[in-house]
Amino acid sequence: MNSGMYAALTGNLSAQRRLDVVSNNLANANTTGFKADRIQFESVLANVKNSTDGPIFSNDRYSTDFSSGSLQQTGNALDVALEGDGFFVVNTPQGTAYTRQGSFHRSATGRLVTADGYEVQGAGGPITVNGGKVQIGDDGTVSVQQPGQTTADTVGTIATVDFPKPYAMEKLGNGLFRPSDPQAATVASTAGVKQGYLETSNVKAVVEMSRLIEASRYFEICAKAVKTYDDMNNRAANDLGKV
Amino acid sequence: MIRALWTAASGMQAQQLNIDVVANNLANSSTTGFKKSRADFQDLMYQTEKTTGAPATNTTTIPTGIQVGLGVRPGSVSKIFTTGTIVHTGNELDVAIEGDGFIQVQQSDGTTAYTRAGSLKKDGQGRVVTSDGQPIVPEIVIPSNATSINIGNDGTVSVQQAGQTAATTVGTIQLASFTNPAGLNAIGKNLFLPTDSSGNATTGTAGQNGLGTLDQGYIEQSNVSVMEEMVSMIVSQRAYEINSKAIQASDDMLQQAAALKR
Repeated sequence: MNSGMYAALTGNLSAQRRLDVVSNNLANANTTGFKADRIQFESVLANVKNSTDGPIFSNDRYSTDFSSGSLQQTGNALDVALEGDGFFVVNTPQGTAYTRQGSFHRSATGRLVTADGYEVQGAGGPITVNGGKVQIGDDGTVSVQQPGQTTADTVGTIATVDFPKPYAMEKLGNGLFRPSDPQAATVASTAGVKQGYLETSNVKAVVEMSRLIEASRYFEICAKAVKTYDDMNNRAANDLGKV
Repeated sequence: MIRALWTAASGMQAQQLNIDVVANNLANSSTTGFKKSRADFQDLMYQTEKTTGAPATNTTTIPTGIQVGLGVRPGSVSKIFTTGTIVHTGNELDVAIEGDGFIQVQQSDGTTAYTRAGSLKKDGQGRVVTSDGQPIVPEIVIPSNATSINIGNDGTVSVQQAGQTAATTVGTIQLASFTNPAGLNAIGKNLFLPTDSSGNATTGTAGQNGLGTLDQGYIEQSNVSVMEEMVSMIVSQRAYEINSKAIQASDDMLQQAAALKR
């Protein structure tokens, strides 16, 4: 009897986790370059089915949905979006990280940096943008037109990389990702670089709302099951003795 | 569940900032030379409950770990420097910049600020000033006997004086440009100050080195597209709403958990 109670309890815990994930997706519905997280439903049921007596611990499966968000035009010279699979490469104090958040800025020293001030990696090191107008080509080539000149000088190429699929990326927050295996081989990215655009979050509100309802109801059902078990225990303890 | 509560709360806070930015854009939809802002957000840190790739047994590893995000925070609010609609006014001291560039303005503390609001005026001493009375840099003085003012595409200001047939050049409106205008610091009154992020100003003649040309008798309206802002507002409001629903769901679940104990 108690094993069923624990099964129901793990259901509650799982619903709670699911709500955590849905909440985070919803909170980031407007975050540039954000990729929604998924948590699979069937794994819990499968676990219950395979279980024998004893506590059952849910084994929810997590994954990140790497589908592209839509592109939004901003018109800013240092806003870039990736069209297709791949990531920008960013140098952080904790090592190399990857991001699809292309709202870049210029640091005090003229370096191309992220909103957090991390340097954006170019094909040959960091990229310095000093002088006049910045142009970024489809292949990531950054050129700057110096004052007094009619042509633009190439100052670097924004590096974009991809990982062999399926790969597991660890989220670091601030829009940054890191492959779970640091040795994961990077492959050439096929993504096109689009200047003046940003990639919006790929969170689909309708899907997340359904998941929210699903998690709520699932919690309710599991809570009912716990209660039913408790009722049964109650009767066993208090009513049976009266017969 | 408490985690979800705070996560959703951070989402509501973020959308509130978004609405603040949209509201300011809408408030300035008719401001000459105004440049709209956009808020960018970033996901907060992740709580790793199970590390991907950690050994599950001697021979197998966990294919995907468990990472739960803790919400969202504002990353940056940047200005968007697309050109606003240029409208005809017929005023001889109204200038619009067609393309990149800013008019330089001398502030009372002596520093230079930058603006695209080209509705210039003449002050008591004949100096060309902004609507706030701040002289433009380099200073241009219009003689008191001038009957008409002509501003060329390259910024050359010439006047026709009473009793003379030829026009006299009295100065040139120079433009300034920045590597990254999005990094400029908006200080209100349509003025911008350079920052580390924008880089230093490069000054030059209008129409040269990538700078825009000047159009006399025109002003640049704000680049706020009311339709676009309305859509942002709806998107933001709905995002706020669905985050509140997540809070509601967390609360319902907490209540059910509490109801388990009789």
